[in-house]
Amino acid sequence: MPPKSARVIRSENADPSLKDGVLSVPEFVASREFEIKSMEQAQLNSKYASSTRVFQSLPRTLRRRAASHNVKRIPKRLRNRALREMHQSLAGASGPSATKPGVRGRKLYRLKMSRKLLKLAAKLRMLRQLPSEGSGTVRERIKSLSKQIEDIRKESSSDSKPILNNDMGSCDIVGENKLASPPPGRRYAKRQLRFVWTPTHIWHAKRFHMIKQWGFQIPQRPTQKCYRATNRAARTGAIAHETLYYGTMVAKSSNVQALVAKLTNRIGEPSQKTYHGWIYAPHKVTKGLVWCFESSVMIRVHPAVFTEVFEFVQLNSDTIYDCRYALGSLELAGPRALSCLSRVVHVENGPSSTKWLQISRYNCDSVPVGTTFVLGMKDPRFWKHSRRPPVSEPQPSLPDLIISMSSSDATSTTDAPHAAALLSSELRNNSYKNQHTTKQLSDQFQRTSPLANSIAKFVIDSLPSIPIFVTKTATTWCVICPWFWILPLWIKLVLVPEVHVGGAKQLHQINYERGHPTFPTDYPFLAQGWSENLVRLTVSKSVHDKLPQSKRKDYRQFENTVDPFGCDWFFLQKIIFGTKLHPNVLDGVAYGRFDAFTAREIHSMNDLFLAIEDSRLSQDHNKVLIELFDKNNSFHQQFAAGTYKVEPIFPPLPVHQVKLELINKGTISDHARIYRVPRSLLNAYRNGTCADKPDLKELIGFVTSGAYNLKLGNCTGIGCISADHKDKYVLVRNSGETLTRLAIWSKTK
Amino acid sequence: MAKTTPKRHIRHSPNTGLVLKVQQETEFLVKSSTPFIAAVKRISKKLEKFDKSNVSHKKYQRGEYLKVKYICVKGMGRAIEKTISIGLMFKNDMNYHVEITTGGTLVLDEFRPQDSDEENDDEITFQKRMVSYVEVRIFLKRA
Repeated sequence: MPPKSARVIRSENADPSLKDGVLSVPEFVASREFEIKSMEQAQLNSKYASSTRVFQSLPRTLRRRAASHNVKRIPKRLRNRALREMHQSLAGASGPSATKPGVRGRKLYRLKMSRKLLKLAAKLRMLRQLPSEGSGTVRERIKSLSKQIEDIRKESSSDSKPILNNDMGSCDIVGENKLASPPPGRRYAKRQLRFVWTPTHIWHAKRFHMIKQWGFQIPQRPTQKCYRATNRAARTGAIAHETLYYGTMVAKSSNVQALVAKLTNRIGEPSQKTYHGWIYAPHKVTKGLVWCFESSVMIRVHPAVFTEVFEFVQLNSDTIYDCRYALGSLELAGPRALSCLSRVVHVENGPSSTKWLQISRYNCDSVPVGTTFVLGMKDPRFWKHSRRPPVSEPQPSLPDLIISMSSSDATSTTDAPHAAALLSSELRNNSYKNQHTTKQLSDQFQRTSPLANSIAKFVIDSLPSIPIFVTKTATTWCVICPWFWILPLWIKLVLVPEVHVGGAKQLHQINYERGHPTFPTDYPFLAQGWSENLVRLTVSKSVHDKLPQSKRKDYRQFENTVDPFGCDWFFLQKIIFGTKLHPNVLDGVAYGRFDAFTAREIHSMNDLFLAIEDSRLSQDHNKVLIELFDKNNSFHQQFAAGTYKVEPIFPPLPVHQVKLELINKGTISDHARIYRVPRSLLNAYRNGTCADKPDLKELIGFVTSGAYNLKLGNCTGIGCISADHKDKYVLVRNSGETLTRLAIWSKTK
Repeated sequence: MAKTTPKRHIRHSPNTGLVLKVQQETEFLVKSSTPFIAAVKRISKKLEKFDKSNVSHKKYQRGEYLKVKYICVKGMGRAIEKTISIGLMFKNDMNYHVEITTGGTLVLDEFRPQDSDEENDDEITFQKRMVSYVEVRIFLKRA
């Protein structure tokens, strides 16, 4: 009988071989033999008794959600074992497996109707027409689609031209001098009415947490934990982010120089390089990309400020095209970004392709910001596997390449025909000509050869080339190409083994680790950043309020009247200008006194805090109470020098955007508080002998993003501090904690 | 020379190539700010991985890793002295076979205008510079 537990090893405790002090050797050997055998048996037992299934031995990134019942989700080498295990577990299950009841009634009717809709839409696509179904009930939509098909059939006898030039349903959607209407959703159209699904939506929805924001469904973060993996990929490999939600517009103007000067606030001949920096419309609204080619200017900005910038550019240009749904982009970070991209982008020979191939063989992180390539490529799906581009001889060193590209007489890395194709709606539409469906692609592969890596060359040559724009931003490489070519590129890019994927949050992490602020979170002095800050505050407050009473933290004892759930710029502005207005207030707590109009008289700091708390009721939440320090503004100059005067109605507080790094151990989290360091305590804080909570009147700012920075191996943060702070040290304290740490700050670039 | 110029000097890394997976695990770069003992510990950890008696790291006993003969510790400029003392520590105190080679490597210097918010591309200049470096090879005790 085997032992009850697989892990128990049977042994003979009472040794029979030793009798009366005499050892019987044969018996002793026999019992040891028994013990060795039972130990080996036990090893086998425990091995097979374990309930781990084969897919659990895979690394987490290779595991698939449906792997427990679908062997096709498991790598081929493990499938036999998985099948065996599946049969065993089925045999072990008690009772017959319950079969799913069939679909009946209303559900069945709805399924049938949606099938009908899809069939009609497919029929229209075969006729190369765009479905023009409006919103309404399903019956109405079916009716309108059938009518559309009927009309086309009638007209087909005459010479009516089809709208689409491919079976995929891709076409250029552009708004001329007005905002473009979003592309109609083919499936689940109703869900896409308010928030547009990007072409990669289905791919992302399976793997990511999506958020609905700024009119798009945005991949926020992968379902898998990836803080360390993202850091590693950005340091040694490559990480790809889909940024189709970013808005692009193309403006045509007879005076490009004036338009660019207005947008970038920088006078001079537009250079070959792409501009990455502040966009003025007419005040600073965000950081974005501006690229000019001949009489066109391409501008790419965050979707939150798209309409604002669009309206400004419209006033200053002849024609403007809203290319939000015509030009798509993705961003790649990490030293291998270009190397990975060049494995799937098969560039056509052109004047700039040599430079592209040369530079893509290097660690591309130190390439100067603004370096731009405009190239032509073929559909990346024509090649089954990614492959390294051929080595171009001779290969210059990276310093030589950078120097040669930065010199003023350098040959351009912009191919003029492809640049024109990128900026014109008609030519973009031409690039979709005969865009292959997956079915057509596999047909082509069948026809070529089952072993070939790519489809026949004459087929590739017969199809139009696709313009692709690649530029270096501060932390990433940004790729822009026609909207419906992003999906084929993305599908092939993520198959390259070195490429990791990330969402908006990972992009934020990469920026943060390199000390770059992220729009809109780290820009609370802009309208969008201000409202984002407000949203975050409300969310974390409501999370806290849902906790049971015993789990809720008593923030009041740590934070006094400052809002503990976010960056309380309201309080900061009032306390800084309030102490200036009432310079002689006392530190202690006194009884509150009121004047004849029942307004609080301010005699102590506590009176000031209470007065600020009272004034919250009349706060306009949409009014931005801080602004970025501008050295040309006379009030800001006075403020920085400390020679300013304030009226009872306070102006916005001038702030610096800064990055912080802790000097000793400790942590910085989001919305940590930043204080001035008392001169006398600087050394104590530096030695770590003091970690006391500083006085509330020393408050000078807040951290907008703070965490553990894996790149530096230390805690860092990005935040804003009042512009009159001169000392290079500050104190940082997390919300709801007493420990305070010394940090060093510098302005962000 | 760089000190006298009124421009901001940005030093670019001399590692311009793409680092292979094996190279990542067998190379150690010493900076002038690297703490000495931390470097010794991290190099020892790298050496330990290739130890045959180490059961948890079977990966290092097969494939590409079998060809690895030594861990390479590199340092340039001001870090040369530290790199050599690390090598000597492994040679004298831990009885490793150590080889030291010297050479020069190309680095890129970037000069930008000092503290200007509106940076113009025309004002950025690049220069090449040769820096001497030292490479310490600490051979594995594979036997």
